[in-house]
Order: sequence, then C-alpha cells, then structure tokens
Amino acid sequence: MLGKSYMKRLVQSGFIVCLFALKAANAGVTAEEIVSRSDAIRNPSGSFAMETKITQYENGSISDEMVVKILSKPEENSGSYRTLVEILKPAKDHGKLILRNVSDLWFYDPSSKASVRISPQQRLLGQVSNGDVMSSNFALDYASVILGEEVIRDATKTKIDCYVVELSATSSQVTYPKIEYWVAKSDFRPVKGRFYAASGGLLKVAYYTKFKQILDAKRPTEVLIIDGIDVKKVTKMSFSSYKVASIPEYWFQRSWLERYESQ
Amino acid sequence: MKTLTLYAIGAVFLVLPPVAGFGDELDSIPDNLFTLDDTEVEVIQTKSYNDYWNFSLRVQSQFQKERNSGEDNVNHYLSLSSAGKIPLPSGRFVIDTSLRASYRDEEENSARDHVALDIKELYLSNTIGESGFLDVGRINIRSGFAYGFNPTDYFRPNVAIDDADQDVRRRRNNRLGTVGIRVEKALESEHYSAVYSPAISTKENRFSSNGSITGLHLGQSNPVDRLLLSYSKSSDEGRDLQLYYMLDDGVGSLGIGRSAVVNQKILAYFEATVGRRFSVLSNILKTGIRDGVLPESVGATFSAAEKQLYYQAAIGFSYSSESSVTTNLEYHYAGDGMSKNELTKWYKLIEASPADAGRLWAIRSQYTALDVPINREALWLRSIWDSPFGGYDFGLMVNYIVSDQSYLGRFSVAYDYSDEVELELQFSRFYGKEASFFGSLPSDYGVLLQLGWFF
Repeated sequence: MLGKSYMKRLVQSGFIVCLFALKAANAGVTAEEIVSRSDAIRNPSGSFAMETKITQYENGSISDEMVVKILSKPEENSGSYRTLVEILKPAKDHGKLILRNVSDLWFYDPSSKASVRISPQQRLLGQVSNGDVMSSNFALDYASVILGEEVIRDATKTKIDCYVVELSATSSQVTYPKIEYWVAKSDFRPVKGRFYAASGGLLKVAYYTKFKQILDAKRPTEVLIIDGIDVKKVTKMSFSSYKVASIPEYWFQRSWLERYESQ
Repeated sequence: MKTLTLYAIGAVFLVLPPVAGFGDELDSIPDNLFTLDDTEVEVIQTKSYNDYWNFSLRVQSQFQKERNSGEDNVNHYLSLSSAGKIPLPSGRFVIDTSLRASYRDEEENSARDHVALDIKELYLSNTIGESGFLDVGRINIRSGFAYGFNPTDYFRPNVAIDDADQDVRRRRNNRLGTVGIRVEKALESEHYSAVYSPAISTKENRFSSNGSITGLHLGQSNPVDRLLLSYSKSSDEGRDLQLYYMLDDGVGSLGIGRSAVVNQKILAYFEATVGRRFSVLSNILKTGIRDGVLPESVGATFSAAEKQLYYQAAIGFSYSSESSVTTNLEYHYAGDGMSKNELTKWYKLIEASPADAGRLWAIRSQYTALDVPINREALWLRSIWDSPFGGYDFGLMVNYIVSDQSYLGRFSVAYDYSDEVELELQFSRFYGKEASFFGSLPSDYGVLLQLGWFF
C-alpha cells in the first residue's frame, strides 16, 4: 500500500514539475529572442534623437527636474549604441554633455572645457544613473535565461502575462551586473525591470509605460523608477520628440565634444 | 518521511509563484504620478536663447580669522559671466567673458583687484571639409583628465583668474585662453590637434597689460612661443589614450594620458609629462630675484640648478557607490616641486629673515600661479554625495602634502534653491606645523559662502 501511494504521489509531484518546466520553455521562444525583440521596442533600430524629461519625486512631490537631449547611433558591426546626452535643464547645467562611446563614459563641462571620465553607476538625477539615459542593447550586453512566466500588474495597474527573464552581464562595463526583466508575452514590450548591484542588492525597479507609435513601433514614452532601498523615492523619465537623426561617427569622440552645437 | 518530502516539493511549486521573490512594487508609486491621461505624451519645449548664450552671476563672501593678529578678514567677490556661440555659415564665433568686482580686507596690488573685465575666449572657428577645424583667436586649450593636478594641461601657467577658491580644480576651471591658431581633425576613433601660440609682447598698453581693468593679460597667456601637438585614440574596450608633444620656448616635453574602465563603479586614470629643462623652482628664483620680487639671499640657499629630465604625473581612481557617493583618490608627483630638504631650507630661511618673510612666501604663490604643486608628492581626495536628501549635495576634499604632513580639509554643502539658483557653503580647515605648506597659511580655517544664478 505504501509503495502504491508513494508511486502515485511521485507521479503527481513529477507532473507538477514537468508542467512548470514546459511552461517556462514556452513552446520554443528563447530568452535571447525575448530580449532582442524587447530591445527593438525600447530603442529605434537606426540613429535617432529624442528628448527626455527626468522628474524626481519624494513622497509624491517633485523634488528635482532635468531635461536632456539624447542622440544615439548603433555601431555598424556590434550594434552597441553610442550615445551623446546634452543637458538642457536646469540652467546651471545647460550645455553640459555626457558621452558614451561603447564602454567609455565622459562628462564635458563647456564652462571649463574639461572632460572627465565618469562611471555608468554615478547618479545623474534621482534614481537615474548616467547609464540609464544611455541607449542600451540588453541582448548584446547580457546573457539571458528564462526564469518562468508571471502575471503582473503593469504601470497602468492592468494585469499582464509576462515572460520573466534573468539577464547577467557579459561585460564588467555595463551599468547593472544583473537584471530581472518582465516582457509582455503578447507583443514583447518591456513591462518591468529589477536592476541589481554586484553585491546582489536591489538598486531600482523600473516600469515601462505609455506606449505610443513612434518611428514604426509602439515604444514606451515613460519609465517610472522606484529606488531599491527607499521606495518613497520615485523618478519618472518621459521621452518625446523622437526623430531619425544623421549623426557623424566623430561626434562620439571625447576630443570633439567642445565643438558640439545644440541640435 | 519520503512521502512528506515529496509533498513538500509539490507544495513549493503549487504555493509559490513560478519564480520565488517576485513582488509588486507598483503600490510604491504615488497616485499623482499616474494623473496624466495615459494617451497623453508630454511635449518638452526646450529651444531657448540658452542654446546660444549663457549668463551666470556669482557672489562669494570669504571669511578668515588671522591666526596671529586675531583679526577677521572678510572678502567679497562678484562676477558676471557671459558665454556665447554665434553660428556662422561655415563655423561659429565663440566668446566667453567675465566681469569681476571685489571688495577685500586684504591688501590689494592694483586696480584690477577691484574691477576687471576678462576676455577668457574670443575666437573664430571654421569647419574644413567634413571633420576638420581651424580656430583663430583666444582659445582655452584644455587637456588632461585628473581632478587635482593635470600635468598634461600645458597652457595652465599663470592664467587662473579665480583666487577665492581653495579648490585647485575649480581655480583651474576659470581661466584665460591663449591667443593662437588651432587645427584639428576628427576621425572615427582618432583625433589630431596642433596648436601654435606665439609670444606676445608684454609691453605696457591697454590691450596687453596686466594692470589695467580691461587688459587682455596677453603677457600671462602668451609669455613665450608654444607649439602643442596631440593625438588621441579611444578603443572599444573602454581605454582612452592621449599623446602630446609640447615645445615651450624651445624646450620640448612629451606627455601621455590613459584612462580605463575597471567595472561599473571603478575607473582608473593616469597622466604624465617629461621634459629636459630647468626646474620650476630655479625659474621662479631666476625671475623673482631679477624682478626684485625675491631677496637675493634666497639664491644662495638653493643649489644652482641644471637642466635635467623632470617628470610630473597624476594617477587616480574613481569609485561610485550604490548610495550615490563618488570618490576620487589621486597621487600627484611633481619632480620639480621642492624636496623635503628644500622645503626645510625655505622654511628656515623665512624664520631667519623676518624682514624678507613676506617676499619669501611669494615662492608659494608663484607655484600656485604656475599650477604646479610646491611639494613633490601629494595625495588628493574628493568625495561627492549627490542628493542624499532634498536638493542638498555634500562634498569633502582633502589635499595632503606628503613631505610635511600638512593638509587642507574642505567640507561643502550645496543646495539647489531652484533650477537657476544654487547656494554653497564651504568650510576649509588647514592643518600642519608652523613650517609646513598649509600650517604656514595665516589662518587656521576659512569659510566661503557662494550664490550662483544661472540664466
């Protein structure tokens, strides 16, 4: 009797495990495909320009604001984005530039003509790091594994069926060593990300929202970022004025920054 | 027992979500962030005159208490800066000026100490072909990427115009450009540059003199013929290389700068220059004694200098923590700074010649003006804690002189009153024996209150 019961329960438990495994494998969709299709929604495929407003909230009240112009261009061979960020507001920082050329990150101050190297994790404003305003290609910079599927609430508090993917950095030069990433099963749009430090600590949680038809795809025009430690600190990034841009290669050189003209 | 284990395994899969630990942080977001209609996209209107022209007004009040006399020393500074770029059909016209006024308790040397109009930059820039450039006029030529000391910043001597700040980096940032011609070519990952800056007569007239309020200070920015050739290359691996050849009044020197990303938080950088020349000290003594700024007795104190190879270097690391603290630690080496033995001789000479003490201390201000550390070795630390709460930023700077163990510690708090207005309070404390670089300053501490309005 004991043996029969044992076998029955073994089959029942095994069935549950197999069901979960099948669900995670999701009928042939690979983690790489999920991430690259989601990348294509987060960023236009060619060179583009846009403006980003970063608003920092503390306990629901605005505590700081910044507006930047972003110029991005994918590298022909690797597809990695080179990005030039021009600070438009606040007035005291107007004209300052941040340049990312693959893994180089530079800060240029036109008043002193000095350019200094900065790290991706250095804070720009609120919960936004320098690396966050740079266009990034998760499929290139991270190895991905499907962790499973989950129904979560998106930023509009609507339930949505998602793939859950774990991204592990393949280079030490990316902003975050590990990301947990929720991607909508229906159309591969990014829904949520949890961004971790090398220590394993949660740095921030991001929700992608307000999807609009921009440059041939429905893309997020807003990201809400919650501080990993103090959840009362929330930063909103709003994207607008997307346009296709022709950007010469030499614009992504540190020595050229002095000659940048506001676009 | 086995049955229990199997049930437990089954229960784990049934009860827990597919991936353990997934929560929902959405409720942390205040409702007012969702008030915008979900179909509405904020349109950011950002084009303004600031794209071409920027103004700033800075008011500084500096307070120090004299150690010996106990007297309070209060200085006030006001500066209005205006910087613009006027687009032209094939280039642009660049202008950067600063109108300064001061009221000081300290002894003043000239009318310039009260009011001065500085033309920091004024040049015409032309584009040649797709990525070539020709600039003519007064240009701020800036190189090097260390924070506390830039050996490869070859045009830095005698051009700083901000004397209220103890932070060498901030002093260096506010300066006069050199008059000359610059040719540059930018390629995909390489950059070539040549600068020629001629010697301009220091003959006293209203345009070139150092004394008049509107003087262009050409004697300071263009003291000798100079030629700088530089090459830079960036790599996909996050490394950056700069190479320099500088010909300064016929004396050549080579320079190198390298920087690299270690990981998400740590950066490393290095810059150095080497040249066969007379030391900074021997040049200061030669011109100082000739012009009567230094007493002749000082010449006998230091051994006669000969031309030799002198090195200057800065090596540093930057660390950004998860809690938004960014710290830079640098080691500075100036081969032609004074050795411990020379510093001791200098201090003893000052002690033994009270009548000449004031003039002998001038050696220190000469080193400061040349932007070369007076000592051979120094450690420099700067830490910025960005907005831990509200709109406040906190800063700490320490400059430690290895040879005499004296140091400057500076704590600062900056507050963003609005997008346009920033307030900053700095408290500096000088530590060291009486005969040491920071210990010999007339005050033990200094306080600086600064208001900046940017428009």
